[in-house]
Amino acid sequence: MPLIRTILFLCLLSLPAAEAEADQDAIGLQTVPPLTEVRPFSEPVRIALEVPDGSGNPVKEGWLKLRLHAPNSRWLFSTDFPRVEGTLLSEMVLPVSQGKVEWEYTFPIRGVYRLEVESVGEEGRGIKKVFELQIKESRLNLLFLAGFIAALFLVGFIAGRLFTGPR
Amino acid sequence: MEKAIETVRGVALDDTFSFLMKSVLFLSLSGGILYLLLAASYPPIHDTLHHFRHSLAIVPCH
Repeated sequence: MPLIRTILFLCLLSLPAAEAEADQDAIGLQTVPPLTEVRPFSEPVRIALEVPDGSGNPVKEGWLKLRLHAPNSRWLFSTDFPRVEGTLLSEMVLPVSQGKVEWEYTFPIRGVYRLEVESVGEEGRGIKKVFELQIKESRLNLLFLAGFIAALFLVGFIAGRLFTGPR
Repeated sequence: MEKAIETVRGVALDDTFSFLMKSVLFLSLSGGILYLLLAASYPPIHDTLHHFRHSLAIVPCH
């Protein structure tokens, strides 16, 4: 019997935590255009967060605290704008209207951005979630890079032929 | 170039030495040009090549 009581007690303890996790998962993020089509320093992206309260209904009024972190620097290849790598890009508190928060942003570099969302209003207090937003490099820039590297190889090849040719 | 050196010095240059000399000169010149193109912070050069550097994706500009 004491074992069953202990198990039941532990189950009861785990219930609120499970509910809180479900709430946090309920925050939805949508972007226009979709993140797969977004490229650095191109058009502004419209980001929308849907914020439900504890019962799953949209939060009518409230505030969301948002913190957007830039991608961390990579050990091998830098981006074209290394000064912003790993920095806090924006920190703002936006009003929730009919369960939604919307704003526009232009992502400066490629990589995985971290968006921390925290509810600071009376309704939906304690809602917290971290989103990871991946922005891919522009295909045109990758094409330029490939062309530049190919040109370097070509110059090296021609120089090698000239230097080792018959005198 | 080795012909010029041979004319001035009056000696025939060894093939290996000639190749090394040309390679060192070529690589130094290439390095200098690449530095100017991709990394020099001198304002007239940087401003002229700003878009070029950004369009190469892995060249840190600022």
